[in-house]
Parts: sequence; structure tokens; C-alpha cells
Amino acid sequence: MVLASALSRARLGAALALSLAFAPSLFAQSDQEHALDVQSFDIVWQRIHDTYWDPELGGVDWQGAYDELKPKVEAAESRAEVRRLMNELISRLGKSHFGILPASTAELVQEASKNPSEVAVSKKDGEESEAPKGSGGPGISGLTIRVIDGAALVTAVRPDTPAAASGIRPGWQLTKVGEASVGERVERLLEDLPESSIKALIINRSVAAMLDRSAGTELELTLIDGDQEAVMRTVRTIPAPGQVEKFGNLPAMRVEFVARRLDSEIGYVRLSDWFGLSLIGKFMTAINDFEDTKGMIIDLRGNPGGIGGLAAGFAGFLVEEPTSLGTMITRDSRPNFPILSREPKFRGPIAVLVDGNSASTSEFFAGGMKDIGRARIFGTTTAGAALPSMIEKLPNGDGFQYAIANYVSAGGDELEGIGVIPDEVVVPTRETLLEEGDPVLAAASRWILEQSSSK
Amino acid sequence: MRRMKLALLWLAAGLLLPTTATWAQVDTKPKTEAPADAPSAEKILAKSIEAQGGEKAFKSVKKNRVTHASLSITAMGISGEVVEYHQRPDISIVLATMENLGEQHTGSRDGFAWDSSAMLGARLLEGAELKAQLRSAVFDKELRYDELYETVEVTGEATVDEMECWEVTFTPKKGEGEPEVHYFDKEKYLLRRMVSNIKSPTMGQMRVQMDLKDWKKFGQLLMPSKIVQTASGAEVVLKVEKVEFDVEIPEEKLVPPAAVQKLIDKKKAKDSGDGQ
Repeated sequence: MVLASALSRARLGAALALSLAFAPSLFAQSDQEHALDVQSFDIVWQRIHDTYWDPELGGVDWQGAYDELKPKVEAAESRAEVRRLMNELISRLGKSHFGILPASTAELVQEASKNPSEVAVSKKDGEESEAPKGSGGPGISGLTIRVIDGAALVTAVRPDTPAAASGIRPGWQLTKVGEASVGERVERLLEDLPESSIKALIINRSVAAMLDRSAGTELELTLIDGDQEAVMRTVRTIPAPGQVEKFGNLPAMRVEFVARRLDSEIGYVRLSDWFGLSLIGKFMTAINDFEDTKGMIIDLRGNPGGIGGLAAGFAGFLVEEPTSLGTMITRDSRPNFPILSREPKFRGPIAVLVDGNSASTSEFFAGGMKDIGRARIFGTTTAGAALPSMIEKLPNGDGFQYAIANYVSAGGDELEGIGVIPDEVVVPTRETLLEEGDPVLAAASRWILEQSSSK
Repeated sequence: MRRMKLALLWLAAGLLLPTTATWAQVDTKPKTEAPADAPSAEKILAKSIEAQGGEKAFKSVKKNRVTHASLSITAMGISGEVVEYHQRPDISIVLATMENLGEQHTGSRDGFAWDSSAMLGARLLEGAELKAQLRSAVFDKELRYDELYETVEVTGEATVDEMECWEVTFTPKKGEGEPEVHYFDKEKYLLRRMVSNIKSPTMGQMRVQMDLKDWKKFGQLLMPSKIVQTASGAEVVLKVEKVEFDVEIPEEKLVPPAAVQKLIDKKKAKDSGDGQ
């Protein structure tokens, strides 16, 4: 369910989908194309009318919205305009996981595997000429950036990368990428975006997109270091790590699974997305390797979600008896996310790390594990974008993403718009990042060691 | 073949995958009460059996039936293959292999029913869900409805796929599940739709609609060659490609996978008082 990078971000809601929807129409529409657009609008309206889990559609005057927008669709002169109107229609629901994905998005995502810089820039701003070009292939900077109190802070530096070698440390503030001001972008987004649980996520992703360049690209970064000095660093992007996974119609995407020991005592697992059946086997291997550890940390920070069943599958290795992560609510059904107890089993304490960029399936997992009392959650509140969704191809070629159910966690809480609130809220600050490197990981590690020593 | 997709639907629902939702395209007109002169359920079922080739054709299958089908989870782009081994009197094993999803094994024999997938793990069915699966696995169940259900009665009329149909409600025995509603067309008396409500302590509750289309002759029997099953926004389509009758099925094809066998052994030990 997580699409390849660009598309997966779009999944997070209509607001983000809107940002992908501004590809200008270069050609006048034929009557036939226009007819397909009108038909697509009708399908979008009807599908939501028929499938939205609440038959009252949350009190939205759906027929009124149709009567108001349909004439505008019929009068629209471009596909982009129709797309905007379809997004306007679905935004009235005020829910995540609804959006129109331009047909070109899928192509852009496929291009991303060859040249992410072109995709990142064109989809965000339509300014293709600004992107510095690398030698090709998807690349990453090795820096994790989160906007905290309006400042874009480095929260993690991937070891053994040019970024790490350049001396950049957690807690440093990123102010410029080339000549582009990070602060201005953040300020604009903070002002322009409506308040919602996914606002921080969108801003973080937007800043991250400034660093998404093809492998081998040299990024000129301006930062404020730990001594409050403005410094410049040149960072060469590295090939994006992870295994390419393909699922059905969805574009191929790169999924990274990391498993290692922290100081030999604690098992640590991080996964970039819930995508690819191979994750199950990797997790089983990790559990076997961690048999003698004092506990396990599952890091879902920045994980935008994926296949819900994988989260339930992971949880099966962590419980003694069958239970459930939560329940989907549709008009006529209440299927669970079942946890089927399975081998090998990890029985030690478990900490799950989350942040505002943890969404969807990551929220199912964290919320469910919290509710059944099997894990302690650390970090900041998740995105609150937790609706099971589907994507349907419309007659005009666009993709229509729509949620088909509400989701209620095992404890009975809706996550949509609220997110998972950690048991231990740890908000990284510039000071704690400079001091501890990763204050969230540090807090979780302390807790696991405390559990061990208290026995 | 009809039961194989229940487990697949649980899986599909749990995947939360992008797909085209066609579940809302229910074209059943609001049902009306059965008229006083409606035929009895017994008569409708007898005509249905006749339409499928008659009792003799059902009984001509001496040992087993192996059905090969293609599978797709609509518009999600997920496709795969399904094989069902159905052996007298009540062994049913379904193996679905799906691209990027691995294998899904569903089965029932010796009073146990299970499903097992690489993604979710394995489970034994319990309670009413178990009873429903065991009932579904009975060979020639079409001929034995009076043993398998408490009551079978005509409860209305409805239109399915533009066909006028009799609505027949099958009510299981107490504690063996929810009523199942079947729609038989009035012209040919073939089963066109089944609607049921499945409840499972582990999996939750799900309304399942199954449309049986494109009836074709396989061997001496008329059977649906396309089955469309929808629930919770997920749609699974099966297209039957080949049906073999009375073939040699290796015994290893008819046993549960190791993870399921462990659960069965554990349950047996528990039931006999030896387990935890």
C-alpha cells in the first residue's frame, strides 16, 4: 500500500495529493478527453457515496457538493482544472487517504528510480531546471531532517556516508541547500498549510525533497553548527539503500530493513516502509539473533506505512496468544487486523519509536501494540493518517485514492486525525540532539535496561 | 471452490491495498416478500440440482475433484493461481499462490479447519466459523442441505444481474453460524449469488457477497466458471480454468502445513488434558 517514494507520500491525504496535482496541461483537451474527465468526476462522487464507511458522510451535503461542482467540471477547460475540482470535492470529507493522483505521477515515480532529482523538483514546484544532477540512480543525502520549532534540524546522520564524514551532527540546523532557503520554504508551508495532524509530515517531506537527489550529486549545504556558527558542507549523495519491492500495480519501491545490536544488549530494528513479504523473513532472522538481548527497539520514525497485513504479521512474533491490532469499520463489516501468535517468539520488552512522519500501517502497529500492552511507545505523536485505502484507476487515467474504512485501534481509539500518542513523549530539541545524538532512542534504551535491571 | 475465497478475503481485507472497489455495485433490487404461490425451497433446490446435471452427475464423481483457477484481487494488480483439492467425504485443501504475497493455505479435514499465510501466520478456525467451513467442505453438499441446515426456506424475490431470482435462506443449526442467503434465478434455477455474514473471534465480522457467473459444463456437471467475491471493499475474482475428476492426489497435498499441524497437535493435547 505504500507506493514508491513520491506516490507513497501522496497516499497521506488529499492535502498532499493536491501538491502533486499541478502538472500544467500543455495541450487543449479533445471532446473525448473531456468526456472522460466528466465521467471520472462522476465515478469519484459515486464511489465515495457508495463506499464511505459512514452512510451520512460525516454530515457533508454530498448531493449539494455534486450539484455545485458538476457544472464547473463540465465547463472546465483542462484536466488540471477537473483534477482540482475532484480534489475540492473529496477535501470536503476532511479525511486523509483521499486524493487524485495525476496519471503522470506514476510515470514520475518510475522516473524517480532513474533520476529522483527531476521528480522531486518537478512534482513540488515545477522548476525542473533547479535540480543539480547526479550520476544517476536514486540517491540520499544520509541526513534525516525534522522541522522542530520552525527550524529544520538534523535529527540523524547515517554512519559511513559523506554526510557523516563531513562532520555534520544531529542538532545542527539546515538553512540552505545550494541557494534555496530552507527557512523560507518552512515558513511558507507553516503559513499556507491548514492545521491538521499531517501538517508536520508534509513540511518534513517537503524539506527532505530538497535533499532528494540522484546518487553522486554534490549538495552545497549551509548549516548552523553546535557552536551557533554558520558552516558550509559539501555532501555527495549516495545510492539509496534498500531492496526494490514490487507489489501489483504499484510502482517499484525501495525498502530498507536494518537490524543490529545496540551495545550488544538491545536489539534494534528499523524499517523504512511496510512493504514486501521479505520483511517477514528478515524480522524472523532478527528475532533469532536477538534471543539473548534485554529487549528490542522497533524504529518506525519516518515510516509512512504500507501493507497493513505485514504489521499484523510482525506482531504475531511478539505475542503469546492470538489477538488483534485493531478493527476496520466499513458499512457492513468489522474485520480485524488479526495477530496470530507464531514462531520464533520474542518475549523481551519492546519499545516502538515513532514521530510525526510515522503514518498509516506504522500507526496501526504502534497503536495496537500499545493498546494490547505489548510495547511502550517513545517519541512524538504520529501523523494521524490511518485510514485503509485503495487506489482506483479513473477513465481519464488519473488514480483515485479513497479510504474504504475507518480504523479503530485495539483499545477502541480512532487514530485518524489524532495519531498514536506515545507512552513516553520525547520531543527532540536542538539541545538534546546535540547532547544525546538521538534522545528518543536513548530514552527507549534506558527503559529497556531498566526493565532488565528491575527483574 | 466457493469456500476457498473466504480465507483470501480475510487476507485481502487485511492487506489494505489499493484496488478498485466494485463491492458497492450491488444490483440486487430491494427484495420483496415471497408470494404465496412461490415454489417451496425443496422444489427450487431440486430444480437447481437438475439444472447442474442431476443427482447422478454429482454422484458420478467417485473420489475427488481438483479445480484449477486463476485469481485476481481486482485492480490491485495482484494475481495468482489457486488449486482446490476436494476429496470425499469432506477434505478440502486450497492452495493459493499470489505474486509478492506468497502462499495462502486453507483447508479442512478430520474436524479441523485452518488458514495459513506467509504474511499473517497460521490459525485454526473455531466456533461458528469452523462449523461453517466444515459444512462448506462436505462433498456434494448440494444434495445434503437438509442434514446440514436447520431450515431452508424461500424468503423473497430479488433481481440479481438483471435476473429475477428466488431468495432462499439457509439457516444453520444452533451455534453453527449465521443464515446464508442464496439467490436462484427463476428461469434456469442456477445459483447466482450468495450473501453471508461471517463472524470470527480472531478475524472479526465480515459480510461476504459471492456472485457465481458464467456457468459451464465441467465433466458431467454445470459449474460457475467465474466467482466474484466481495467484502470490506476487497474483491477477489476467480476464473476456473480446469476441473479434474477422480485423479490421484498425493497424500502430501491433503495435509495441513507444518505450522497448522503444530496448532492441531497443541489443541488435541489441550482437549485431552495433556496440554497447557
